[in-house]
Amino acid sequence: MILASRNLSRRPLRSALALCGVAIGVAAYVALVSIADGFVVTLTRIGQLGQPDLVVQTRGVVDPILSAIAEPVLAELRADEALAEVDTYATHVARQPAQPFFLVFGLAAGGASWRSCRIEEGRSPLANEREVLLGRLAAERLELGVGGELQASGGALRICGIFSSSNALLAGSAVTTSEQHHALFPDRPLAQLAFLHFAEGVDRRTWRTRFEERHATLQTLEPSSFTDAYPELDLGRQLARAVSWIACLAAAIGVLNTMMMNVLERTREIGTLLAIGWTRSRVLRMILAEGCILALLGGAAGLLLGALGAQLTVAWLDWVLVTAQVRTSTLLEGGALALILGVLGSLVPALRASRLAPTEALRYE
Amino acid sequence: MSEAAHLELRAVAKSYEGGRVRALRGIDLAIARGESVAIVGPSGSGKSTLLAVLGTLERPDEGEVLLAGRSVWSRGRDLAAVRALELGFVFQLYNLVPVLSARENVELALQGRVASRAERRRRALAWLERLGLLPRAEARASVLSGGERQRVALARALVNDPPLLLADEPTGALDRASGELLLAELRRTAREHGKTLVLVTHDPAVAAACDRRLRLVDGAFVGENEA
Repeated sequence: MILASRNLSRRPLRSALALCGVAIGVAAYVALVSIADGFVVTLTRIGQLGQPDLVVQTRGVVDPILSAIAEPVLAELRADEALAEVDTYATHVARQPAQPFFLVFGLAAGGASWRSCRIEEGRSPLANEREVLLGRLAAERLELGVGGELQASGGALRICGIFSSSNALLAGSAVTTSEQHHALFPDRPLAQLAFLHFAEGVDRRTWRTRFEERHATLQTLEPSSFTDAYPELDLGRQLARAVSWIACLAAAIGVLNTMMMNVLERTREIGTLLAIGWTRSRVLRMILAEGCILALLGGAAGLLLGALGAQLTVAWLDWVLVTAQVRTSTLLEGGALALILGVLGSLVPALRASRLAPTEALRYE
Repeated sequence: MSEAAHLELRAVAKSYEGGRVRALRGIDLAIARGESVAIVGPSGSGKSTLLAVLGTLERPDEGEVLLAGRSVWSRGRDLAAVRALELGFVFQLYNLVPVLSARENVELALQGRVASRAERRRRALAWLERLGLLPRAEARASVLSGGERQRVALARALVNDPPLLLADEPTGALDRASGELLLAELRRTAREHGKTLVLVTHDPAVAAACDRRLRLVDGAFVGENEA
């Protein structure tokens, strides 16, 4: 190991460049996957608005924004004695100059989601007025306060109050009542999702089965696995992986090139090691160790860069919907990826070194 | 051939380039334990090939190489173990690892043979001390003088205490004074520790210091102990 690590210091610039390549590959993987994971977490928060027991949406939609719960179904749910509360949600994207993807929520007045919004300044929106409550996080990002205006289709929306919420998605958006939301944005349904809170003692499984039998176009989801209904989200993760793998491929080629050059330059030395009794497997292990040390050092730097890069990218984008979720599993995957890069990049040079004929190696100029 | 021979070649032949270059032509040689033998001859005469064959680095096309009566190329023989424990190499250009210290270079020969790091260190330092290099033990090989490097290479060859020493132009890259010093060290060590010594040299003075001098021309011995 001493020899393996010292060998990397012979050509510090070359080793540093290979190390940077691995760091960039691993950082790209960690950052992109963390941002993709963060997006999933943000969407999961939608399903957890008001902490419901069950979420209802249109079957098979690829995004909650495309779901619509018909008013008769809402009426039926509200009349159901098995349910203690039926909360609803609708949303509209209102492009702001400083935030291109800004959400305006329509929440059932007095519902659990609505109650989770604590008004800190101003008052609730008045009926039939183009008024909204602005989340504290959004107010800070957009630098707007009570009396300010948000841009929206159909005209400006006056900010009548500022609220705080433990839900980062809500805190970074604006809210109004479902009815007012529907009036402001008539193309949006009254409810895209329904959040159900069961009365005590209800057999949820039976209720769920019967509901889905009656309403074939709707589906019920557990809030914790809300995003499982959107397999398209996996596409984001896969895309993130695919993009980072390109960077990793370049990194592997970098390690390969460095190790090939190292082996070539040390041909005579490897011949000497064989001549003094080193086994071929020991030579192989030495070169592999060099590649792995290089890759693990690069990987460690890449993990730090990736975690930091994900946060910086999100901060730079300044979108509420995009957060970075740096999971331990992603970091472990990044570390494993670095090790794989090290092995892949050094395997061919190591095999080549271990197969050298000692006399030819000793003659090498 | 002698039963007591430490090293024995029987009708050894070696050629390259599909037989066009015949480096060794039916060499017979027996070297007794503790004997010192110089192989001399012009460039391209096959000296280095002979040394490589003696050191198990090159397999002969024909004939047999016997070390302590056993064929080194017999099936199942661990060649790496033979190279590590039965013989020690000293190269003309020292072949040290420049990024390692003198001690670490000597320890290389013990890697995989002596598990204890402390024992490897102890043995390496003991040989460096015997060769007068203890004060330079932690100096990187790249900063040592030519004479010091060759003594480190000698320590590396001896640290496993092999009974046979093979040296390829051991003084070839040294100035005369350093060369004489190294040669004296080599002979003293071989004598004190009962090592068999085979060296290849162009230098008549080096050859004269050995018990036997064999002249190799075009891959065959043409004379012995000539002036």
